Amino acid sequence: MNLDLTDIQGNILRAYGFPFARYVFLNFTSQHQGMKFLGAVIPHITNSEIWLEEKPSSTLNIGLSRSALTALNVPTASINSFPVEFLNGMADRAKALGDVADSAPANWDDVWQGRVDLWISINALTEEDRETKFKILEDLIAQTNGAEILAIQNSNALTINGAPSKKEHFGYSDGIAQPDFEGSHSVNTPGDGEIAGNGKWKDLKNGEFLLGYPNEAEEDGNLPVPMLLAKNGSFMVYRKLEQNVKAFRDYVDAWGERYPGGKEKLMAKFMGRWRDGTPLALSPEKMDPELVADAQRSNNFTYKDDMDGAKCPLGAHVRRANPRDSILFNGKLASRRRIVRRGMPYGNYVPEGETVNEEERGIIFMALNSSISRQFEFIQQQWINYGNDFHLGESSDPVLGNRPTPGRFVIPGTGEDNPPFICSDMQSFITLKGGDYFFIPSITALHQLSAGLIDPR
Amino acid sequence: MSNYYEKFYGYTGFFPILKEVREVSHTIELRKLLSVLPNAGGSLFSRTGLVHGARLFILDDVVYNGHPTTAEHLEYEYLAVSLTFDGELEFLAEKLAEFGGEEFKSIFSHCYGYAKVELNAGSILKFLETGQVTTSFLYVEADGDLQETLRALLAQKLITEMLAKAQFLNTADKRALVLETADKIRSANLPLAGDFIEERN
Amino acid sequence: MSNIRGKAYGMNVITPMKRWKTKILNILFKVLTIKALQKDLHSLSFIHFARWTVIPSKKFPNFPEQPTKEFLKYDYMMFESNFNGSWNEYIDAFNSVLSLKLNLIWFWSENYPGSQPLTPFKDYITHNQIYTDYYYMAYPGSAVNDVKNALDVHRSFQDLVKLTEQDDAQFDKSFNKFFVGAQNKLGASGSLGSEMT
Repeated sequence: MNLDLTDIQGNILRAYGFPFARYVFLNFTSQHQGMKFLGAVIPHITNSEIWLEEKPSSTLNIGLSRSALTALNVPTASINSFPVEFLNGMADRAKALGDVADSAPANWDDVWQGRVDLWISINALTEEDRETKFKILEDLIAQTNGAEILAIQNSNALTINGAPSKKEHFGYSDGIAQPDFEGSHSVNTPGDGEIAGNGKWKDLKNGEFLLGYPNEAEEDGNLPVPMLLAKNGSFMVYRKLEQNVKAFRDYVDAWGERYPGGKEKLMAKFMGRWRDGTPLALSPEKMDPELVADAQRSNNFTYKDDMDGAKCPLGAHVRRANPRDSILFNGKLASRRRIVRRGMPYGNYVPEGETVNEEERGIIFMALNSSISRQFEFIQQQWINYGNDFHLGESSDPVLGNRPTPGRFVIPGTGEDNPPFICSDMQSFITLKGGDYFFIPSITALHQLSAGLIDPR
Repeated sequence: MSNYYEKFYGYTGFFPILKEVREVSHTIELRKLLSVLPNAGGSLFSRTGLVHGARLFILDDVVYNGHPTTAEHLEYEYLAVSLTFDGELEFLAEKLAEFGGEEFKSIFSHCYGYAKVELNAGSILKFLETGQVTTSFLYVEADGDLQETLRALLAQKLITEMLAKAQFLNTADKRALVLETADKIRSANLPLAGDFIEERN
Repeated sequence: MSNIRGKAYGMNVITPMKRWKTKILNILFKVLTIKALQKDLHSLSFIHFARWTVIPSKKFPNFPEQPTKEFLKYDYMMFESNFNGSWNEYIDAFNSVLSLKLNLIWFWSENYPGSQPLTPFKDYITHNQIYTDYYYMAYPGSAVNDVKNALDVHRSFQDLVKLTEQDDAQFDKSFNKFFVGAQNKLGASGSLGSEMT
């Protein structure tokens, strides 16, 4: 598979893996100055080339919302060829996504109450590197007068016991499983792709994550027009998820006492993995650090021996987000619902046992996919905030679900020695503070946009 | 017999809509009526106590699929009726005669043949049979009749609540709770067919 | 939206068929397609009820009061389905896992593009879909999975109630057996649910 890595923005095919990030939200000041600004930024944008020697100390990438295209005066016929959900923006999709009550758009951070054209992301090895890159961006803004900064969001790998970790605020290890697709840089890792039968796995098609390539439905249709604007681009979903660490800890403390397996196992049952990342499907009774450390094994499982959820509950997070063969047909129904996740925590970790203060903390969730509605939105609507495909009715993901009315979570058992257990009165542990949908253009497309060369036909 | 699937009957009918010169055509009036006709508990099909699902749509013409098909047109516009219910067509006709009332008339009075229909089971049955098209293949997923289904849905909620409590109880208390729940299920008022269930208490 | 009633989406699709092709389709309905198709529909578990009906060109229902009869060149096949989830999810699933069997049924319809690739198939369905004017569902807040689960749980519970006379040890066993059997069938239902995209 020969992808032009210099044309695809970085962090899609392979995660940068830097511990510090900053997301800058901007609006163009005018069409012509905006185009100048865009033209000035392009040489600084990090592409997907493989870093053979050292990692650069920082990276820069850019995403455009629908309002950015309008501000640049991209022809209407071209804008209208973008998918409906992108055109309407994430706030418009709130009811469908379950972003209601406290998570409703009216309650989002200020920046999301108005137009947001651009998302610019800086990833860096150190905080100094982050500032250096940010200064470059500020200089470009000053030189061109083409954009104004609306808000800034920092994020960082959590420091736990003095060292950067891969954990998020509830204490779970994050980012273990990512989809394997033909163009992704990771070596074919068992479990990351789609089920190929006989215990084997195969890569997903590029078209699930990159525009302009065949997807799992064996077509590459429904692309924005013209092709030069779409090809090698992708769509990104940005969601700032505030985590209510106190509520979560209080809940698992209380129910961990009632649950015969104890608190740690209860938390594992919610997630589908122990907090160290050991998948329940492979090790339902205990953590297994060796297993987690072995990339060839840590994600290599299906659910065919666990259709009743005795190892990994049917409603657990990882099983909802990626059901594999849980929903039959050898996982075929799930292979078109995968997303690449590139998020990071924000805020300071509260060590266990300490009082949780009122500071902001949570996770910046970012997903990449070629069709927001078919991939991210589908997962969110059908699998996270609803459970019908798992035959679980009106139930939601224990960790991520939005529950204005408290819900239940069932931990399946096997018999008298291991009875089922029902957790009740489960409220929401996450509140959405804002976000939107962004188009991540290729370098070629960015040149076309900055030069005003988009012609729909 | 393909109108049947186990204990269920799939009725499909096409009723030609009256072609008369009038200020507003029958089709437009019928369409307007259907858009506001109640479909919740206590509505027309709800009252029969037999119908799982009912679909009415107006077929004003066939769809042209382009070359190489030839375009053709229906002489009449049709009210298509698709019903899935328990038992036999005769039973449905009885219930419609008893409970159909004004609504049944308001719909079908726009169709040919209704003028001769009397509000009794036999007459309505004949009317339905004249408009009927045999279903080729009917498929119904769940196997409960309507009353059993409504009670089961109610029971499921009560049983879940019971289990959430019972998991912490000793055997004697479990036993008592099971019996109490069984009573609750038996004596509960069934929700009306067609209604959503109010939020969990 | 009249195509949607609670958790159910009502889809009607009517497509033309040359008369000689109807004969083949009718044989298929009687013989091959049914068992295999039923098994897959059962696995997908998102259809409450569905039907296929062929209206022969000369057999459109006719009442004596009508001055004329229909005289058509094509037969028409109506597909009517009541399913859960969004239209897109439904068609996607058909395209993913049911494509061959669907082809057996729709192959005989004029200008049918095949169930793969996806987009022309979706366009074909959209083009031939007739919107529902009135939609009634007896349990609109429940998906078909909810219904099946409820029936199972209720029936098992009724069996359990018969065993309340057992001694403590026995009853504990019976209760546990019931709990394990019902554990994955307890999802709530009955409310409107969120918008489907």
